[in-house]
Amino acid sequence: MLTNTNHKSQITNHESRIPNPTVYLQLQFKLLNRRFKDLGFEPWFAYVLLLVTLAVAVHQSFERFSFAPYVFVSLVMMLQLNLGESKRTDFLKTCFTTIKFRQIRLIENFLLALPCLIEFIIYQQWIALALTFTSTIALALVNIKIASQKTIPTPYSKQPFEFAVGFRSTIVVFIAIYCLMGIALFVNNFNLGMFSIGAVFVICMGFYTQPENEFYVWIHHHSAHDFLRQKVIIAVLQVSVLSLPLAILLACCYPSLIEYIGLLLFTAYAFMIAIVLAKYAAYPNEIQLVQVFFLGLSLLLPFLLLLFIPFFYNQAKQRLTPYLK
Amino acid sequence: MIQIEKLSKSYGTNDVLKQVSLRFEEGKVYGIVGENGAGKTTFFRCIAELENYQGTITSSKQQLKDHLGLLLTEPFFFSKITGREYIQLLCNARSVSETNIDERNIFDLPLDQYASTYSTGMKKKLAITGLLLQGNSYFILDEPFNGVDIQSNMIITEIILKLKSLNKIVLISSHIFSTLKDTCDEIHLLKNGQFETAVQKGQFHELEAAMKDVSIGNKIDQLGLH
Repeated sequence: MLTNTNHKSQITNHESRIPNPTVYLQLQFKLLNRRFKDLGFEPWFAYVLLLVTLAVAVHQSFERFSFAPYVFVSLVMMLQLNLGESKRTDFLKTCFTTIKFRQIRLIENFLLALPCLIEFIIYQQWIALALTFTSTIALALVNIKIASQKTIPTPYSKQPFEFAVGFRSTIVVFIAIYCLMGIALFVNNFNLGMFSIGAVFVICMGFYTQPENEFYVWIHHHSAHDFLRQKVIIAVLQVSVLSLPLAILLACCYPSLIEYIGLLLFTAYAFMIAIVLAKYAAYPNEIQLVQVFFLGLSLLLPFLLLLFIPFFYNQAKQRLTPYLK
Repeated sequence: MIQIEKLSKSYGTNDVLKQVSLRFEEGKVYGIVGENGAGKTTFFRCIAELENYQGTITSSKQQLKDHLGLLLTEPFFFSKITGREYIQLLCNARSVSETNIDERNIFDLPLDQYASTYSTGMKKKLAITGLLLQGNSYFILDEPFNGVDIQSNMIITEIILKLKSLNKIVLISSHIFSTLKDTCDEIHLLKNGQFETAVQKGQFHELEAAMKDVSIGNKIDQLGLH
């Protein structure tokens, strides 16, 4: 009896030493705020900006495209998949009891989905709401090890690393985009086709948002100018592998609208170049507020890229010179 | 040759390297030893030009860094890059073409698997393979033997001796003294920001004994083990 009591009190002591989920979530909140600060944003401003951007994006896209809610469902699921990554969940399991671990995963997924869930309710998108709600629960209960051991083939192995790594991380999205193009052609929706091409570029630009370890810049024997030139050429060629088949397909189906496709490609390539240079303009830090601001401004007035691309280039050259003498 | 003159490096008020002068000759292997935090890695990073420093570092080949193979203590790998792609990346960076990666995969690494799934030892072996395929003239190997199995340690020792015979300059840092005894021509002891002692091959045992004396002393007795 005495032994049992001791055993129970030992368990209670052990349980009390296990951190509270609230403490963990507060810590995550702090970390997120730090990331915003590193990017040059006050956290409250970043939250407001993100919510306003989401509201505007939802309003614009839901009215124009019937498929738009499902794009948002996919985005939420992608982010939730990231949170359920096996190494991360393994770490959480070692820190918390099973119940607390499940609580944390559910809360995280729910908080992540909350803005979109509200939007779906406002716009009465019940199927999207149900899908998001289901993924919120389902993805909190499973430990995701999506092909983490299995090598996904990529056409980019000869010129690593951005596209080789990025392509593998987002292959599901590319499959979805290609399906979207198929739907666009099937339902005779030119705009949806244009959206698919744009989406390819946006996803590929995402490959250039994080600075690489300094070793991967240092190893190059090129000058800063040659390094940047090579990076830009590789980015343009490699994004073409994914985008041009879609553009050609769309142009074949809509030959009378080829100038619009050309204009989209021209603008998208300019943004691609800008983002590559913007990444190194902030190196070794993440892209800073100034670059984000200029890129955002260029979204409204794309011709400004003619000014910003040389500006980013000069900044990038300066930033890389210490590594590439 | 790599000539280092009056090399100083400080972080804020912490002087890590103080007026260090050394000369490394072709065809020789140099061991750099010192306690944790003595400044070995900073010294290597200065040679690699990854740090700003005071003093001068010159080499017989123009642009030292472009001929330098740098093995970091903990090599970094992207999450979804294969071993083969890692080597390809290193070769591309130095414009090395015509590389038969499979033939030169002497550690029998699973090159088509993601490097991030490799064990610590396999990662180190991959990083070493990459450096060797770049065709460098100078090598800095920071803890090359750490986490590597005995068989591969033997191979790494032989690789270092081969590099020496090919007239390369190799600088090694290791916390395992025996590995330095097997490979080095000279061992330099870094202490308090300066190279305090330089020992030639025949006298390594004296250095080892002196280091044991200073490091261990009567600390084991202090533990009060019984």
